[in-house]
Amino acid sequence: MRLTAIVAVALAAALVWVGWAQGWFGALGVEAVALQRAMQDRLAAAVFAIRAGEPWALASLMGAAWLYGVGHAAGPGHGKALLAAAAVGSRASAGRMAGVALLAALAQGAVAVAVIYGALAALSVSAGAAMAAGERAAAPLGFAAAGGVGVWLSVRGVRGLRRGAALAHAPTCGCAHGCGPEAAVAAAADFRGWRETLALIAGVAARPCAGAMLVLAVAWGARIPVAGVLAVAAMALGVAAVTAAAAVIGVGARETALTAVGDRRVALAASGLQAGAGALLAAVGAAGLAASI
Amino acid sequence: MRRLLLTAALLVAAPPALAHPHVFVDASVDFVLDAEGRVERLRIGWFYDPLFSLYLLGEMGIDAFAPADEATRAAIAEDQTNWIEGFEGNSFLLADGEPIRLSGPLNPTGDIVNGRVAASHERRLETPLDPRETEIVVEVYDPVYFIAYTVSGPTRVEGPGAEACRAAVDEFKPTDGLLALQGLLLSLAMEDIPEDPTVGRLFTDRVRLTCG
Repeated sequence: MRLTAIVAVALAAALVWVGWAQGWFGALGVEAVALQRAMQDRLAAAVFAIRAGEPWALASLMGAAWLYGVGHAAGPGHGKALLAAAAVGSRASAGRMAGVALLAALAQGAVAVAVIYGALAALSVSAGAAMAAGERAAAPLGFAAAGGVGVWLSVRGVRGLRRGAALAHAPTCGCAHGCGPEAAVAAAADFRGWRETLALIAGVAARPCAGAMLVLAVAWGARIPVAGVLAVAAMALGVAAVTAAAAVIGVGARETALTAVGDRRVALAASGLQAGAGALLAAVGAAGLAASI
Repeated sequence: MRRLLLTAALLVAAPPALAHPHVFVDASVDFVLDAEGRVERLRIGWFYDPLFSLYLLGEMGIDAFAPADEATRAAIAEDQTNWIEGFEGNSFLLADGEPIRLSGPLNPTGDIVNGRVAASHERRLETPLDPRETEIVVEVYDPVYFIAYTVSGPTRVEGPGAEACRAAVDEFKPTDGLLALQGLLLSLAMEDIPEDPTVGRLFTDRVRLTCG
């Protein structure tokens, strides 16, 4: 039953992936432009409603912001790529990955608040300058964190692979404990430690979302800063709904692959996935870092 | 415009760029004819979406919730025609398919209408063009597609012989490939700038002038 569900999730993910590459979603394009504009218009209308003291205006702003978050997270993006790669390349549970996705989205919103309100209140520079400075300062940090998680994953993966190879050569190993696949599994990352989890969150959160910064700048200008923070929190929850789904799909795909290779080679396969996903992340982090400094 | 352009340039140039439009403009294009019925000037109108209007007015230190006074209108007109080096105005005139140089912005206006920034300016043709002999098309687009323009305003022709002319909007007609690209650009969100630096032209509305 569990296997069926996992295979279904993996197939659905593969279908979406292929469809994207083939341009099957092209028909959504124009609607997506219109949707982007409609979401933006709703945000503005809600800001005007709050200024006019209309009832439920704050709720309507938060609802619009939530939708904006879902809409903006729905395409392929760096947060989802990071979380999905970490999900594939570790043995972390779906629940844990979803939790990390939620924390990362909220942290990303908090970074946007700190950058924009900090710049407007303390430094009294323009929001545009703050947005640009925030991007420039935060992007390298995010890429560095992502690359760090990638290196950490791939080192552990390679270690697992070598241990698996050693076991294959010496099937009657003489060590006292933990020679079987369990040992390699135990070496696999599961994002239970605070350091790697924090690095992963930082990798996602360090690059504040431009939409969130735009809303904050508008809220500041309209003298409704608290509403701006609430709107960004709602936006982060919308983003988290999508990034958590990406992470859970990653977990599903990984479990499917591990089920497919069979019990005996599970440890080796997990180490291989970990090394591969880690290397991918490290490469993305390095490329981004090189481009952003 | 300088302010908008700098914001766009900073965000598009930074690696986590905005590949998709974050600014929406309802544009209008008018043709002004000279005494001999040749196209002498274009009048371009820009009507910004409400969210970006709020942002822009905030950046300019203008209270977006108060009615626009004379100083506000002048400040908007000035801002929108303060173009940085290399900015070509996002309006492009083609005569029989060949690009024609246009002057910098003239006679600017600015206003706030229903909370939205409205601005207009004129651009002179170096040499007036006879629309009875030349096919004249105006394209309105942002090459890097940070701003999405839609030509939705009434398109007018003014001056002697204008009654024999018609300016019609050919709306952007999407093909499957273009739609796929547009969907992709929208979804790119923070990752990449479009590889094609004039990708915005693919989605342009065109205004075609026919006379006689």
